[in-house]
Amino acid sequence: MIPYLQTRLAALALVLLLMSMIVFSFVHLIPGDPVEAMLGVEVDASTKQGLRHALGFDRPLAAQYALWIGRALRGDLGTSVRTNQRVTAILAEKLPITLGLTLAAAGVGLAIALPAGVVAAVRRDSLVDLGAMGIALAGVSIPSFWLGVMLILLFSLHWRLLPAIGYVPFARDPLGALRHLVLPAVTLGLGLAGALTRMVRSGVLEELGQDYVRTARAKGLRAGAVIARHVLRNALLPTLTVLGVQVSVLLGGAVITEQIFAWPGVGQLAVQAVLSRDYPVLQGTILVVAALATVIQLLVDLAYALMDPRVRYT
Amino acid sequence: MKRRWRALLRHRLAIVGGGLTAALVVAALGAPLIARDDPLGMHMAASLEPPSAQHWFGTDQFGRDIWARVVYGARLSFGVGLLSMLLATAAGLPLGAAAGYLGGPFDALAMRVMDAVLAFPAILLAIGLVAALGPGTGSGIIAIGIVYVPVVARVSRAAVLARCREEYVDAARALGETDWGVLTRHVLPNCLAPVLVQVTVGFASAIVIEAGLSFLGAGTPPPAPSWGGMLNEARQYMAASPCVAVFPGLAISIAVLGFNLLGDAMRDVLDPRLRR
Amino acid sequence: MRRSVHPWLLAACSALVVCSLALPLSTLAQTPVRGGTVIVGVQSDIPHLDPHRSALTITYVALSPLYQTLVDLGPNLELRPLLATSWKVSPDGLTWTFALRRGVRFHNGRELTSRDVKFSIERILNPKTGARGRGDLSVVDSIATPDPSTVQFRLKSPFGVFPTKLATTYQAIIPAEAVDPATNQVTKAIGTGPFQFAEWKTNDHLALRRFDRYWEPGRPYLDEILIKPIPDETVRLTALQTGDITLALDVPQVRLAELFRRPSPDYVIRLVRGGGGQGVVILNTRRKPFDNLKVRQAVAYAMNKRELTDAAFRGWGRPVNQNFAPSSPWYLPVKDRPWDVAKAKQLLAEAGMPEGFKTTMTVGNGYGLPAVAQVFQAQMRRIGVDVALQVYDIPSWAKRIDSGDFDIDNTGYFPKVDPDDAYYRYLHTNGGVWQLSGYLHNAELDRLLDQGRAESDPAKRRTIYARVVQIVQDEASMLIFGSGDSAVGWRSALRGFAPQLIGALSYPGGGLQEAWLAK
Repeated sequence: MIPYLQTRLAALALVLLLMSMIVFSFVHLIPGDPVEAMLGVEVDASTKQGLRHALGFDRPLAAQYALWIGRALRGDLGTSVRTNQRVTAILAEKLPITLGLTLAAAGVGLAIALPAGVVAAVRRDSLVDLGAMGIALAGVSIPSFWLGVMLILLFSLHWRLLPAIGYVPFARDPLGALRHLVLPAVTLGLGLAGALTRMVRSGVLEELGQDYVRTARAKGLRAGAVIARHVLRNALLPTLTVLGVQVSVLLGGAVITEQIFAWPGVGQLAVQAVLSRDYPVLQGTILVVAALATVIQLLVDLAYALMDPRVRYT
Repeated sequence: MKRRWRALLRHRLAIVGGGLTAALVVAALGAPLIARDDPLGMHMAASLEPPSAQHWFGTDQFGRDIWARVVYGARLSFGVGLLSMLLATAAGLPLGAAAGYLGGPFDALAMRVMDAVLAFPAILLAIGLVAALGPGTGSGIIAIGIVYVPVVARVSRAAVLARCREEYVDAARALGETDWGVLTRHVLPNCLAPVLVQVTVGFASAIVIEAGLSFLGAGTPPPAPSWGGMLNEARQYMAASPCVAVFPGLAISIAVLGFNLLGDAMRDVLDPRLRR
Repeated sequence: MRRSVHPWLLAACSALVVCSLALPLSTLAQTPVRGGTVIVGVQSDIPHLDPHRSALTITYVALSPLYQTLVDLGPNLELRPLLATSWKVSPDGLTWTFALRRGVRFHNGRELTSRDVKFSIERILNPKTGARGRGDLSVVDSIATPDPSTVQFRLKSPFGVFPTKLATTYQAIIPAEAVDPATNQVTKAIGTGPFQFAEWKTNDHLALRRFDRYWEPGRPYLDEILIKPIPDETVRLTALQTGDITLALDVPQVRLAELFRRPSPDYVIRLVRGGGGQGVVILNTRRKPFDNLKVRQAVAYAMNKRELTDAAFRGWGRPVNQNFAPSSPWYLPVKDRPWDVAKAKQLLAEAGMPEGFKTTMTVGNGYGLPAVAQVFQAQMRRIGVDVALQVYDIPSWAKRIDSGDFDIDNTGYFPKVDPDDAYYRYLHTNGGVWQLSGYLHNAELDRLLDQGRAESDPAKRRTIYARVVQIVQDEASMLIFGSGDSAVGWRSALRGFAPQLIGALSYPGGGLQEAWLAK
């Protein structure tokens, strides 16, 4: 286990370093810079050049990268060109908002996928199965940006049941926070539900065919008890793996979901940073999000290793 | 009896998937015949009209026929899917195959780079790439292709690794075949099935990413009828006229559903391990 | 009572009439009361709290309750005293002396002096600041502070309407202690406005609190202003209708007809004539074939201004041929070029391109620019001109436009205060953003624009600028096609609010510092 962990951590460090280089060069490849974004077309060139020089964007790229990565290693991701706030402080404010949304979406996904997947597997090839799988496929196929727009159209503009957009901190107004959470969480969670339902179904199906299930049934255990006590636990392992992989997908989905619902999270921060060429924020955000996804992936793999004795590592 | 019912169920999903995909291809190829109207023709006086016999899906904010734009949008989506997946395969398959076959440091480095690319949220990576490459459908295709390279590379590598352990590969080697010969003549042909499945599912992703890019205004430039672009423009008008948002979204969902179903069915047929 | 005025009637009146109607009717109805929070829905978040270093309208709009300037613009952009109570110019036209208002305090409690004015204007003039207003003040040679309440600007050349250049939040007066001397960054948001900074959560809200030591007696009435960015205009309007916000800026034009047809007792929608600014298509005279006057004129004749205006302002605009709304006193009587496709084709043939040609249009992805570009493209197809649209996000687009890397560009101009503001920067070879007229080269223009700048007699200036408009129209490189309206909406409980033409939330005599919430 320990050597395995060491290998994984070394690989993680390498991935992060590569990522930082990709992020940096890629961010600076984009034409137009923070000064253009800030001052637009109606400000003369000499004013723009003055600001560019003051901000250090006229220095060689390698020097800028060295400066940035050196500070980043010491936990300093720099200062936003746009808002003049520390990137670490911005992320500390925005990350919990996005993680809250992601968790809620994962909750929505599991709440739909577990019962639907189990029922579909138990009543395999019935109309219930067909229906559940159809809905799962629809969930995977409906793009989140359309779903979000439709949900706003129906629930907010037409029926006026839920607030269309915005974020309310839970501490300020718990009920309002939940009401604002529903539509974005469903938008983001439905696609996940689709992917998970299929995993749960095939996992349960596989376990149902195992000898121990037949033994348990033969011993007279009711089907429900068998599923609850034995099948589900084993069937959830592959589902967990998918959930781990889906974290990166969810964080990506949050980019668009936050844009639609005007959530002040990391996704909107990243899009805005692209549009305003706020290099420090963009670099910091992508690096932290990608690192987060990678670390969660690692944790999921470790959990898998701990829970499933069949998996061995060398 | 039960078996047949199951086969039928599988068969049905495959037929549905194949049917939807075929419809997309027909719309893409036959757009000029099916569209009934110019997808770019503006009639400002007849803007935001509801569906009618003349305009099946109504008209948009410039009075353009939404049915015509949705049909021509199929052409664009299909083209983007096809070209981006060709690109991803052209780059990802050799890379993954080489990594799997050669192993060692090359494998480790290549796969870590792939991990690094894969860790970025796809849409964000695509936005950045399009911004760097400049506007246009071509940039979108390249961006989606690049985003999908690691996926194809991983699948190819896994398939090559699995095949390399098989006896016929050892046999070929024992008979004096070169590495290149073993790889191209024996290993790769047996790896194509999982890659093909992945690419079919990738088609669906490509359509969603293209639409997502256009939705964020970073994809196909107007006035070309892109489903995501139509949806993006529709946001301002959807309260007054829901048609502008409903139909392009439906088109995306149906196309994506078709490729997903087709991918599933192909996986069942082509991947013997899952065949039961 | 106010609703008894039919909205369509209001829409037909000029902004001037609208505002003068709205003010007395609402303020005389009841006496103002103190207290309450107003939540304002705006299109985007402010980039930062620095009033100088931004060219975004939102900086001007959202920070106007916080920062003030020497002079101020009323609801129709007329000049009024603010931090300066009076000003005069020396006989040679080179020295402007401003008398400062006494007893004005910054939010940190310190009294405003002439040194703060000198500091602020010099910060704007420093090229390293990257200030939006630097170009406007480039005529300033030096600043003197003879005593704590007098500021003297020494100009390089006479400038008849110099005070107009000091009137927007981009030229805000801030104290030196708000700025870090090492980095030149604004570290504390300190101004002299009726509201002081309380909190800013990016992309969520900007909170401003009543400033108790504000210099205007009895103002403001409100306790707090919350400014919330709500990018989606449909959602912003819905938030107003459901009462989630009190005041909505930029009500979607596409919904206005419906809103005016069915007025609600809960909220008021007010049209701001000319508030949408002017739309323009620019042909680059340094690129072929637009170096040829006949080709440019062909394009101009083929442009259907009505359609373009409708696309830009969704039915709430009027075709114009100059950089002012018809409701502006600076809208000058110059006959517009008619829409004439046959004439356009003939001109193309004369230019040796009877079959038309291929070209590109560089389009910024925002501010409704792609919609206009699509209509323009469709119109050009009628004369055989094949325009490929290249849509870039705003920073890439701005970079291309700056460096002159475009054949055709389209953009929007903000509502203008003065013709110098409306023409000099675009048309003068030293204007700073000459590319925005497609580098239109005309010796007479430079001379006229210099004259207009030095002149202070309105009648003479009208003659000068009418000639400018005529030349711009004949040269056909800066094709201003339409002027649009904007709309503002607020809950009926909000009283005493009058929208300003360019959208400032607060300004003396109107805006949120005069507004109060009825119980």
